[in-house]
Amino acid sequence: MEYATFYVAEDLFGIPIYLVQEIARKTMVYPIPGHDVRIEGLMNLRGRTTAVINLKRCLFKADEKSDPDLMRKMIILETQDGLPQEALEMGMSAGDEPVVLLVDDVFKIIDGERESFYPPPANVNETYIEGVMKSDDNLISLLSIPKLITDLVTNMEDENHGS
Amino acid sequence: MAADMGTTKSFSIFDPSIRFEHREFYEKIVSELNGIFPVCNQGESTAVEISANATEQEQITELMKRVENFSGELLDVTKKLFDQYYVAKEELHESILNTTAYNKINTLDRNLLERTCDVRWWALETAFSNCIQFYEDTKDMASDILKLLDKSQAKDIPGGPEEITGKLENFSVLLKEGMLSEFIEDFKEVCGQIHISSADTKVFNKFQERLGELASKIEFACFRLEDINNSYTLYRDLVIADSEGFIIANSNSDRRSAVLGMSVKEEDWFIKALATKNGTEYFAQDINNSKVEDQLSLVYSTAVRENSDENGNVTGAMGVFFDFQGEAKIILEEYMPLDEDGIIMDGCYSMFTNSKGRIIASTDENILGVGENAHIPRKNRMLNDGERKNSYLVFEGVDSAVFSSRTDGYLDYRGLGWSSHVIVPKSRIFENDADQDTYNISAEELLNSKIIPDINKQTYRKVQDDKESIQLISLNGIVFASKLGKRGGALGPIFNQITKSGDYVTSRMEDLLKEMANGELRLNLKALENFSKQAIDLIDRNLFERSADIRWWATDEYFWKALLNPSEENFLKAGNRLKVINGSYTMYRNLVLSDANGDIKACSRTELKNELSKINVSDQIWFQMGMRTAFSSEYAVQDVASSSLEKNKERSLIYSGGVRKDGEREGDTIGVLGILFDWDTEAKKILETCLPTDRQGVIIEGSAAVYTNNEFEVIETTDAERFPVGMKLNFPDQISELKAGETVSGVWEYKEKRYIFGSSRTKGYREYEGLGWFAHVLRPIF
Repeated sequence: MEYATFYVAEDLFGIPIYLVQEIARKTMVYPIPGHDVRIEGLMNLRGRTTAVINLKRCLFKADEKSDPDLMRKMIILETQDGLPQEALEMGMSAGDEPVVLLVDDVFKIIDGERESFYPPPANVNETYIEGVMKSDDNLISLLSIPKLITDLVTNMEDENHGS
Repeated sequence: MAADMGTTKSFSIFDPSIRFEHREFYEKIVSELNGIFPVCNQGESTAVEISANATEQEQITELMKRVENFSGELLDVTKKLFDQYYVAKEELHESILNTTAYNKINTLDRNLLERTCDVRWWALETAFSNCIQFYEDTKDMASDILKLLDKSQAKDIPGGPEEITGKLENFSVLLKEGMLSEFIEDFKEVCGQIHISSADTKVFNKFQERLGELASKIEFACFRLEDINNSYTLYRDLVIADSEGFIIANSNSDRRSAVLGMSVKEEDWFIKALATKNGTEYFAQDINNSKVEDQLSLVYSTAVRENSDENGNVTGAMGVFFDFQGEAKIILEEYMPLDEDGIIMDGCYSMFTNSKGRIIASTDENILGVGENAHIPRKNRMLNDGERKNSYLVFEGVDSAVFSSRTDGYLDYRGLGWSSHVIVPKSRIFENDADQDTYNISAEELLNSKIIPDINKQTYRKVQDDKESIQLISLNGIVFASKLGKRGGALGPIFNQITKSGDYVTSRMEDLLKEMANGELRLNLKALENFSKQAIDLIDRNLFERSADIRWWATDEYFWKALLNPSEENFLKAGNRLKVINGSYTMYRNLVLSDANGDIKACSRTELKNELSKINVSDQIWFQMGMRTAFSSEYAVQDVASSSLEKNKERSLIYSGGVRKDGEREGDTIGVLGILFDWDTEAKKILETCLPTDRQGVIIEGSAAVYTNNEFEVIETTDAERFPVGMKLNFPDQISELKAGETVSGVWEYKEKRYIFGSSRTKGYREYEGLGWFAHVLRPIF
């Protein structure tokens, strides 16, 4: 399986290529009111209003690293309808609505067949990391999109209930 | 128009100035991009092969179209980039060589301006008006003597009389070297043989005495001319002519036998000198033949006036023969590229032409012969005052560029309409630049710096952007292919090819941009080096003039007379003399005369007389060194320092010369003349003309020019805030290792700001050796 890899802060992350619909330059994002800083705002994706997730704020606590000028690329995630047969066979799933991830920069597409995988290191307390892949000299953290989305949605619902 | 560098132009890849490796590189990029088009076509047919789904087919075709369009765009950018690369090089070279051509003519003009002051000042020396007056009076007496001789029937005496009467009738022949003393002997002999009344004998004896006096007056006039020439070594000869155009005295003893008694009444410089209205007027005779010299001459002339009064009647003329050839050689050879043996590189020439376009001096007289027409494009020959032009031409079979600049004069000196030209092979302009790793500045840093013009920065950003676009196109292509599952596998090689080609093209373009940035850096460093060299050369030339002034003035009779007979009246006269000198030479703040004990006895700023007369300068370096000079051809200078003579000034630059009894050329000193140069004003004026400018001629913000002494202490500055006078600068070693006359450039960090700099160390000029100073010109990188 192939992985799309990208930079957030100085670290490399990867997600299965099947979950990617398109990679694009950052476009205009409209901020929305709310307490969840992980949501950067909303954007217009081919006529559909789509939530933009600031991955840096999801993965790193320190706010100092979130220079908006550094975040220059967007990964538009695939919807359930767009998943190819192979992905479904592997048990992947996606949301019904497209979601956009805001990242610093894309790295490249890596063929996972040829790389070695490791479980996430014990000392790293990262909720969304499923494992680590070593490609050349790079360590790439594999991101669990379902976990990330679920966490965000739960949080949003909590907030909505609370208000 | 094709030869015009000024208009916007584009470089065809077949332009002969495009370097071979660049043409090869360009062709590779083009073939790489052209390779993408069939790949795209292949993609479209693959689409039909791998998918029966019309939407999918359309998506693939769409993707391929995007790649194709983009490749076309990339091809355009590549062309543009090459254009910019060569235009940037051309422009920078143009600005440097233009400045070089201008500097040459400007340096010459500055020199010639000083020359116009010289002649006007010297012509008022009393030794010359006295000598002419005495000669005229003696000539008048000669006709009386002739009548007496006639009456005495001296012609009956065997031998001599005809000779003698002939010479008395034609008095100017006695001016020939040695003739007068010979004549005096002959005349004595004749007087002894004729029988005349005692009254007449008296007249004869008196005339005889007078002839002897005339001989010594002429000798003294020659002596004074020599004194001047010993101080101002830029002249080959100085001559004094009577009102009829016969030369009475000259300074060059080697030429004396040929020159004295010669008639110059038909020479322009003489005729125009007689026509001057008062002592403030002068005439400059453009390069021409003169009987006085056996080579082409540049003559400055003015009238000698009765009693040396600047409004007095004209009694004769002074002509000064400037060593134009020697001076032009020095100036023309500056800034020319040299080979390992220190010889000007082949294909590089420099020359001066006069207002008629004739060559008056050149670095290679076999090719650019003096007196010939310069074979350069018409517009380079037909310049207006102050105009600069560049053209391409084939010169001596080599594709070359010629940079021309016509004089705009300097201050009140209008110049003679001369132009300076610099010719270099075109290949020099576009040659490869060495790697700039030595400069401790990365190409990326450079490309974002202020040194690189905006247009090149925009191209850099565009290439960066294109690189990203290629990446996105191929990434999305692979993402798309993955959705097709196994069927998409066929698209894989296509996207790989696109990625590969795209990466190749953009990384090569980045290389080219970095090369361009390095080239710009190198040329900018070169420009700063040239500016620093110009700054140190101009101050050296200026200080040479100061060393000439002091040597000449120290021999002035008012000063030694006052020191020999120290009466109040004599010192008053000396003070007035200093005041007159200072009135003509305004670059001095004060001129002071000190006796052998170091007490100030007279000064040009007479209002300071009382204050200064209380000062003893015996512990000051300029005084001590001045007292120790052994010859009138020597002078001393005290490096910029504070002085009790100028309490309100931070720094003084004082030149001194020993005053000797009877204005003798050697022997013990009886006092010292000190001259206080208006250093700050003059130095700052020069520095301000040596600041780097952008292509519109505006001085670059944050740039600075400074002089430092050999301890790297700032002695003058254009930026008193960042580089104040007195501040010791911690320059890199490459500067402290400079030897006399060398230049260097590089990158330097100072007060948290990065600069590129050019520095030059003084090499002096003629007899002025320099004080080991440096000139530095700095330009901020960001």
